[in-house]
Amino acid sequence: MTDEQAMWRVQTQDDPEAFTHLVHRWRDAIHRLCARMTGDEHRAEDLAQEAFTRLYARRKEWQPAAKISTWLWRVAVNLCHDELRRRGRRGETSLEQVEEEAELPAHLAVVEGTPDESLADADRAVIVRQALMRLPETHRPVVILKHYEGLKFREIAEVLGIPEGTAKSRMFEALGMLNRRLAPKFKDEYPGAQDALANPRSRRMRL
Amino acid sequence: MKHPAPEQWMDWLYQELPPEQHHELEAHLAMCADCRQQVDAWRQTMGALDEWQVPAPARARTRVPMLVRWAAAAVIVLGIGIGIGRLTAPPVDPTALRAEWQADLRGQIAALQAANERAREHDRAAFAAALDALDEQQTTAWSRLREDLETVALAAENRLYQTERQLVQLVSFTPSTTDQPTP
Repeated sequence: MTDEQAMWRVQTQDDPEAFTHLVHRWRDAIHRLCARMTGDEHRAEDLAQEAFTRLYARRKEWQPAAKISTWLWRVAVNLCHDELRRRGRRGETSLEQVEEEAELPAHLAVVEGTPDESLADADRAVIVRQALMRLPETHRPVVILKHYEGLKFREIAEVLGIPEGTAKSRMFEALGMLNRRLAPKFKDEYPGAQDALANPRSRRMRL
Repeated sequence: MKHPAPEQWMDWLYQELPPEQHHELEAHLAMCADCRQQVDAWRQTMGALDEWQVPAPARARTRVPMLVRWAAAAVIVLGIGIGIGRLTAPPVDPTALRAEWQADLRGQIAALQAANERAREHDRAAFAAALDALDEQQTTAWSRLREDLETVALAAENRLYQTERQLVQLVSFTPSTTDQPTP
């Protein structure tokens, strides 16, 4: 059963088994997206659940010509944007800010050029998450959908409602921003990264 | 030399170009040090991004009642705890451990026996007090009964004495002539 067949059954017959099929098929991917968008893996579980709730609640609006995955990604991205805006309004401190304010060990401090000799896996994951969370909200979903979830640029453009060229330009802009944050941290593991930043043409390209 | 646009490199990096264009960019990369450096930087950033993996949230695979799930979780945690404890604990001398346990157990048994004896003594005292109270109640009741019986006996004796006197008076009674009826 394809996703669209399952969704058709959900739409026309309120078929619980078909809906379960969709949830099982997409819940992990939607959870990953929400976790990377918000930087909060636990909150992401609630957001993913909310995404499926909305999918079911709005099942009658689905057009059979549309890909259900595109619809689901869009719902999840919008939920994450809402969540981040709510946090901003409530003045909540994100996990990333807490980590940064809590006097990180010297090897984790976000100071460009600090040599890191032996980063533990968890430390590297924290650094990457912090770097991702500092991306503009317009760029973060592009990186997540492209790099982590493997969508085509055309699909990303459709999910986010932007031109395909914009999706690509946001991607290389985001990689440039991430490079500036991550290269000093991962210098020993990726020695060529900083050299590229020193290159005049590279600076022009990375914006 | 005309360099490919960054957007094209994004397509190239993520394998979205048709094979012909892909080879063209690859050929350019082989002879352009600037592009190579930039592409390497992007690749390294892409590699760094892979450091953050999000695990799937833990879910129960089957519909098991919540109580059973908690019980299973508790057993697992307990098992892990015991396992970790066994793995991390220093080697144990069974004889010393047994001696230590025996001393400890003896102490605990003695304490329990003492507590038991105290409780028994308390019960015994309470029982004796209850019996004493009962005895006292019975004694009081008996003495009241005895007083009552004595009162009754005295009253009965007094009554008998009076009756006896009346009978004696009745027997010794002789009617007078004046009192005899005329024929």
